[in-house]
Amino acid sequence: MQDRRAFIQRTVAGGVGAASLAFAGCLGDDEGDGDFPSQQFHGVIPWGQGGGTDIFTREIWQEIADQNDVSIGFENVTGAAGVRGITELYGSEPDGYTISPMNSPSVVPLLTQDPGFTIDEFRHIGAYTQTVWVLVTDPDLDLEEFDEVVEAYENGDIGSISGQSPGEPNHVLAESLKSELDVPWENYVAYDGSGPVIQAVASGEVSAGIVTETAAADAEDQIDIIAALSSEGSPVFPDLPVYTDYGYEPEIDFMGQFLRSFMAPPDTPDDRIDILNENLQEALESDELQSWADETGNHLEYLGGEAEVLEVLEENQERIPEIIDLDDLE
Amino acid sequence: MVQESLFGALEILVTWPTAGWLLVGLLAGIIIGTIPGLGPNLGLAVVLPLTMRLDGPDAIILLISIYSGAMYGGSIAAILINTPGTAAAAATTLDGYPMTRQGRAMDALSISATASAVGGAFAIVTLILLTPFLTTIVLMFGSPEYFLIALFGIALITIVAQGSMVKGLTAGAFGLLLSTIGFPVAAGQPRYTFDTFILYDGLDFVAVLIGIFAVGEMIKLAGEKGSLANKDLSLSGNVLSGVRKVLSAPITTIKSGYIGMFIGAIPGSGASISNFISYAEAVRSGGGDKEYGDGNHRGVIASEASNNGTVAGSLIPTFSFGIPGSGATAILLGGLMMHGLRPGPELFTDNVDITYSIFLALLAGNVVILLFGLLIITRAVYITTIDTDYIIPVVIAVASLGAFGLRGSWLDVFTVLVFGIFGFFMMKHNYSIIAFVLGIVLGPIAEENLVRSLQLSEGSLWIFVNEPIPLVLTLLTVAVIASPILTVIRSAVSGGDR
Repeated sequence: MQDRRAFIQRTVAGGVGAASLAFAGCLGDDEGDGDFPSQQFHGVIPWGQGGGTDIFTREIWQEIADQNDVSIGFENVTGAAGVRGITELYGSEPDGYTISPMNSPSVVPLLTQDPGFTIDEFRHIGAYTQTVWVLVTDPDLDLEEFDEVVEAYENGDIGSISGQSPGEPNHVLAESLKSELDVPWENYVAYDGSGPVIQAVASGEVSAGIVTETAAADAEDQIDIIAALSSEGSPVFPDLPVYTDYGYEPEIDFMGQFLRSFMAPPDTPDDRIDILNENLQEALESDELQSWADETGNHLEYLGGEAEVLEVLEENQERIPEIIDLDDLE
Repeated sequence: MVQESLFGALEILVTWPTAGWLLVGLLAGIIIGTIPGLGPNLGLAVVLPLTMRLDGPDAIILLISIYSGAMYGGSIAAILINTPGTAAAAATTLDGYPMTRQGRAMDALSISATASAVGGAFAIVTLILLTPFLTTIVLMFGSPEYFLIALFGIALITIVAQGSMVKGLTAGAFGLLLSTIGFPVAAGQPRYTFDTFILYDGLDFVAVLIGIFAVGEMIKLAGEKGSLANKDLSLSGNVLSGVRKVLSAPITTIKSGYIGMFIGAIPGSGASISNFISYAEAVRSGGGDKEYGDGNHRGVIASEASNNGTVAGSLIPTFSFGIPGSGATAILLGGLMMHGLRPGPELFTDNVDITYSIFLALLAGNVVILLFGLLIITRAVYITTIDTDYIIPVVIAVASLGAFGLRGSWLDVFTVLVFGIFGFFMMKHNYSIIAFVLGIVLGPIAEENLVRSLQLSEGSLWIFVNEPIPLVLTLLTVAVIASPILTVIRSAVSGGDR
């Protein structure tokens, strides 16, 4: 195991994105003068440029860097469902200057690919928003309520449900709808992203789909949005019913909403994590970020520090293997 | 209503600094496109964060101009040194580079600029006319249709594999096989990754293309003496004769622009596929002054008109459903969202001014490509008189660097080098490179949509013939596969008559 980990660290450390070559020259020396932060931050983003996580990370950390009057360089280290980037963070200097975004469903690829470490070894800075999943259906089916959809599955009027690749959160959610809430869908159809799921539902190729609330908001006229899959409800659709309104216990909340947070390498000192946490809270309340959030329809809110984030991640780590067979994904 | 919006859009476009961003984007795109490996994806990725401080329309116009410029720019190195600057220009090498070796590089470069501009312009005008119906059109195509289109592309191997059919099919099958490496969307289990996550996302087919075309050709050149253009030929061709050649092949040009647009609209495909399909269609329909692959100008027209047409097509799923057709449009989508422009019906109603201004920017961009391409880029032919001893190391170094830039992974650098050697031997033994490329590029799209279609139909193949669009696509594919067989039968029958 040790050899493999060293190999992975070497490989990933070598595999730095070309964009970062431009930034590499600007990195300052480690002065260690106790005045933190005084150097350039380095944001390692394990997902592609232009995606939701990428945009959130760049906006928020640019603001944190501006507040401290330091610069920041970002690097998208993509691949292996995020594990490559997370591995790069794992091997980074624990000085508080290197950070990454983390989304709670990413515990799945870490469990299946077993890169030689677990998510609780990292230091977690804090959570900045959560995204709720919603159930959507083909408008031609005229299904309006969650219990009507369940009934249609029970009667065999509809059979399919769609989401992303096996192991992605909407797949785990579909499986938990079946195992925890007894929704008897017959076949799960996988698409490459929320957009294609919506297109398939809107065109009637599949009867129902599970997408994020933001993706559903973009296509409100073309699909029926049935219910939020988190008992806390959807911030984007405050009036939307939630599945627990129909007499269900909140059994699938751990997957029905996902937490977006930031983390630092293992062994980053407490005092630096505390400073970054305060910086994050301050940035999230700043006028700049709040007006950006309003303009772009994103929601930003400080949702807790290391303890709260770890609680969610550990619950995911524990519950997901109960719902889906991880061996199928290896 | 449409007229009003168009005027509103024009107003956005002609104001400073928007027009300036258009120009900057195009020129940057052409330069990025020219350098192998630094395709539009990397260019857009580097620029995206810098647009954070721009206004929404300015940012999107800058990004899309880079995309459009890179589509054209990719042809320059493809023609001059057989090194496609972008995957979208890979098919341009097939006839463009032989033209260079015959001393007709200037012809080829001006054909490429003209065909890019004309093909791109036709596609974008069509897109503007179709804007009110885009969402409806997108909803007509689903998994069975996408599978059948990919299958049709794979069936084209029977047409483009000149020479031995067995070698053509072998090359195509090998391409399909390589495309199965990694984690497939539909099946959910990684394949052939040997438990390392280096191979988890599969081989990058852009790296494969750079290897086969650029490095493979450099290995071949290393065995020759002198410069790229054969010495005993004088550099002939001029700027206007290239323009005339495009204008005298209007059907090839326009058809290729539309093929590009159509393929571009299919999620997961893009210009890297459309240039080959369009080239294959040109080979099928024949015509031109020489054999295809031997410097036929129609081969350059087909590839170049289609890849600029693809830009317009790829915006259809991106704008209507937020489905990026390719890596470049995925980043473009990020640019839209970063500036609060959400894909979906709003872009065609409340924000239609911005949408039209993006389309008009593309149209204006095609004019810039034409002028810049004809007046400045055609001067680059002097490269073909440089001794290959200088060209080869530069191309190998740039190709390796470009490969590293794709995903920041050493795997892609190894891919380029291994497939360079592989491509050299393929060329030497007459294995069809186009067949191989169609296999590796179309494999994942075909597989993903086949699995999904069969999940939807619960295993029944009826799903591929029970609606008009799938039925037509199935018949087309059958016709393409049957045509060489029919030709053989016909010649046997007429031979028997004699």
